[in-house]
Amino acid sequence: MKIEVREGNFCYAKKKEVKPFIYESNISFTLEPGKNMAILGPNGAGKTTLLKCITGLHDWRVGETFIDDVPLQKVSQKELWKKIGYVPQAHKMVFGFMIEDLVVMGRAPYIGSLSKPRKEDYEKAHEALNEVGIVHLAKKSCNEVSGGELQLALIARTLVSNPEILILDEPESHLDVQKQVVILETLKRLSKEHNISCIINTHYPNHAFYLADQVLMIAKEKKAVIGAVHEVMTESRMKEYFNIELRKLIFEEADLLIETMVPLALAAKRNISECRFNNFE
Amino acid sequence: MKKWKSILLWVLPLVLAIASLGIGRFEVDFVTVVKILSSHIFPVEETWTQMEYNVVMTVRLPRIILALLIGAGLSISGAAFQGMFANPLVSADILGVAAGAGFGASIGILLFGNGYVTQGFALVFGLAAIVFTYMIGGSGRNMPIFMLVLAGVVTSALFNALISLTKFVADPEEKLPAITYWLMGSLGTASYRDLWTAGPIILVGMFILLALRWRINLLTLPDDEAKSLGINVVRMKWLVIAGATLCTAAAVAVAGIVGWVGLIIPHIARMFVGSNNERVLPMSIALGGAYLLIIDTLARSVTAAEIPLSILTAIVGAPFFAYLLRRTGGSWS
Amino acid sequence: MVGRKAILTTLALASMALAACSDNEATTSASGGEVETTAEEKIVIDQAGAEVTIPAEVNSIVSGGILPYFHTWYVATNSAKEIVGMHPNSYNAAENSILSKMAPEILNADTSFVQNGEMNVEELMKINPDVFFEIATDEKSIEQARAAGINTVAIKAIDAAAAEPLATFNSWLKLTGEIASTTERADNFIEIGTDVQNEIYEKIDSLKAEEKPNALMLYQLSEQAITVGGKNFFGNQWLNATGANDVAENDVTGRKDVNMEQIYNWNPEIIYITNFTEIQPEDLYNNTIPGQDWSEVEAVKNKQVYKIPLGIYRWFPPSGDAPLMLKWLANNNQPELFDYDMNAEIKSYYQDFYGYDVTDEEVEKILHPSSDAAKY
Repeated sequence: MKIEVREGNFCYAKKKEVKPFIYESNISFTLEPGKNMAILGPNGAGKTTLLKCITGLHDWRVGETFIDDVPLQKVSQKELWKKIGYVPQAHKMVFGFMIEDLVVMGRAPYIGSLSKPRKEDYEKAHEALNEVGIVHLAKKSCNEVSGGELQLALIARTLVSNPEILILDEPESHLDVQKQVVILETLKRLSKEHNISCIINTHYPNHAFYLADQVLMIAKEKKAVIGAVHEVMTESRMKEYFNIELRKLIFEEADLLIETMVPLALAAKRNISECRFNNFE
Repeated sequence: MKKWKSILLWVLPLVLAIASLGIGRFEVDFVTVVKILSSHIFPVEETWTQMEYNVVMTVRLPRIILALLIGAGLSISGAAFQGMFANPLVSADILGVAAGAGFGASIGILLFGNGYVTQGFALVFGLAAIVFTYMIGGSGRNMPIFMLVLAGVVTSALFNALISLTKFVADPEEKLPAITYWLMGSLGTASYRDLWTAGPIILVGMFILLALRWRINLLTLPDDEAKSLGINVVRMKWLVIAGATLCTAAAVAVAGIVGWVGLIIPHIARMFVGSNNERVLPMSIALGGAYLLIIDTLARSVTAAEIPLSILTAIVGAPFFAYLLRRTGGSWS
Repeated sequence: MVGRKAILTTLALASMALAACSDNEATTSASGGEVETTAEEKIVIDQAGAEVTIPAEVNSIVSGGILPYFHTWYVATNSAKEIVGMHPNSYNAAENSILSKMAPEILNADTSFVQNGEMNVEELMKINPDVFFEIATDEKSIEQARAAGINTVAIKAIDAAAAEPLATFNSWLKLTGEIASTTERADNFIEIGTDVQNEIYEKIDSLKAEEKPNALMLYQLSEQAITVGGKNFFGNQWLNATGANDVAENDVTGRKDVNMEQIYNWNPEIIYITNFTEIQPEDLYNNTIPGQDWSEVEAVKNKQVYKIPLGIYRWFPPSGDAPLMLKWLANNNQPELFDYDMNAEIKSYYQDFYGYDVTDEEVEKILHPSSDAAKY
């Protein structure tokens, strides 16, 4: 599924009072099937709002979203949400549903208004849980599992509807590094094996390097910039958008390459003469 | 939950109903009760008096069925609302239906003192209360829950004030005691006519809620999440409100205001079947019906004078709720 | 000529001034402080035990929430002109009673001081009676009236401890006699009442419980509720005094709502319906109330359902016709032992006691009151 936004912009209009648009420039991008896009930007730049506008949960004030060249407004809600899977941040739930009940909710677009899930729906739920590696937690209450496991369950919830694109809002927050890896690996595998694109809000530059084919960067009072990962995520751009000095790091080991960006401010001062790592000779 | 336990809980109301047919201020031994009942299916030698027959068929039977229906209706409405509002502390009264229906009935008793009119008014004003609540708080894009709750508070306050006004105007000899007594809830004069008027309405409401019981799970999620699962959130909320309002307004029209049932029973149901509303709603029907039946049987048999229902449900319900709070520490899973 | 007129006018003005002065004094002393009375006043002790200062000559009274009281005044004084105000419910009873024929001026009484069942003290002050009679349990109204300077006498609704039904009314009569400074009629009534009561007691004293019919006092009946009277209520006293068993005595205190099953359980042989409900015996005979089947009850089968008469006032609470109520009940409860000719009894009683000739038509109205008397 190709998802495209043309000249989109948004503001929280309160009836008569019209506030200025929250994005400095109109947003336009195209995401081809199977490709991933990371959205980066400081807090308050409007990343979550952007996700909601892209998917139609909020209405663009100007511009439009196109799904396979069809305007989003014209697509029926049921069909739309079969194809788009929205993964919110994991949060405590009021009622302690079992994990499998939580995941089977994702089958809603396939279940008639007055019906309830059948065996096939639960089988699909278990398949999805298996895909993300937590099928052993199927009968546990969602308030008993860890935050990371719940996040994986929420991803599984979107998988049951055979989506073509996943929308994730900072899924790695609150997770330990191991769970972060599990999620990222799962997403990468989904895009490779099942051609599922994803759009992901993230605060971690190295996640963007790992996962994304293109990056959209926004900040307050800065024009939105979109392009290939290496084009967008440069030290000068990061300085401009995040207002902080970052240095790009590249780590190489055998046939592996990791790229990331780290803030200069967190560097420790050292006495150059005592440095063991520099070899001037 | 084990299959046989589930079946047991469903059989419970039936068993209790038959047992209650044999309990009351007027002595009818159980064998006679069974004979009277079976005489409608196959010929049985008539060994009972007309009075015994009356007691079983016209005094107790309609009342027992009504108690089951009302207990079930209030409980499933409470469960549905607890799901829709994602809050385990609400009951179907929160949007003002009970207060509106109570006012309708008070006006009916004041002006007409007639059964049909009183019930009709109760229904009409119960529905009017919902419309009122919607007009105040429901016109946002998503019909946000907190707006509905606040609007419901306003509506309840308004109709309760109107009830007080009605009581003020009523004559203290006949009308005022009638209104006050009615407001405390009673099935003391339950008849088949009440059953035929309120019964179908409660059944329709229950049917709507049962049909939606799995989808209510989706309503417990934040609005955007629910939408992202492809459901029309506003329409869902309206359907749930419609179903619960029908049940509650009809119940209030016939039995007055009976509190604590819609609040407590869903919790007990969850203790048995977990949080999945697909199972909680049907279980609430069974438990709610059984509960109100027991309460009503007590109300009409313990003393010669009828004890108002809401007094008993509060005396039983409030301590039990306190116990629940302590035991679960406030977390509901 | 002119001189005499002038003297008379001056005297009149002077006495009015004196009366006004003494009224003021009576007012101030009634509301607290040292009780000093002039020759124009006297002190009575009301039924709540308070000392009330009232004018020696009482020319205007108002009766409030103590609904039967207004006619007690008439019974004690044979005069209705002092009754300048009464509760709307009392007025209704008065309108439908024979008192309206005997003393039509009773219908001039002002009911505006009670609105929606609540006393409006300012309206009461406009009427400004010499004495205001209020039910002892309504302490708020009594305090309000006294604070506004109105002499208020508290009257108890029922002497629950007493076994005889006439005890309450007799106590009212005695107090009224004191206030109105005329005790002859009160004493007369008490004597008649005591005689009739003794006459009846003689015959029923030896009766055992099985020889007495089970009777029920149906206070109110409607589609919404069945209200009966039990212990510590007038009905109970009446039934016990006239040879019947009160079925509700052990189960109900005061007046309470019960359900149809309880009625079946008691299965009374006689049912008495009060004037506080519009229901008539025909309603029970014909099962006109939806959802209630009275046809199996003993009293309905035997056609022994009676509407309590309304003569000078409703006969259910204490009334001036109490001796007649005793006889009427005795007739119904113990037909083997008593056979008073109620027509003759009513006529002679009214002639002797009230000095009024009752026609046959009026007798019928007394014994079979309409449902209007229950309306509010």
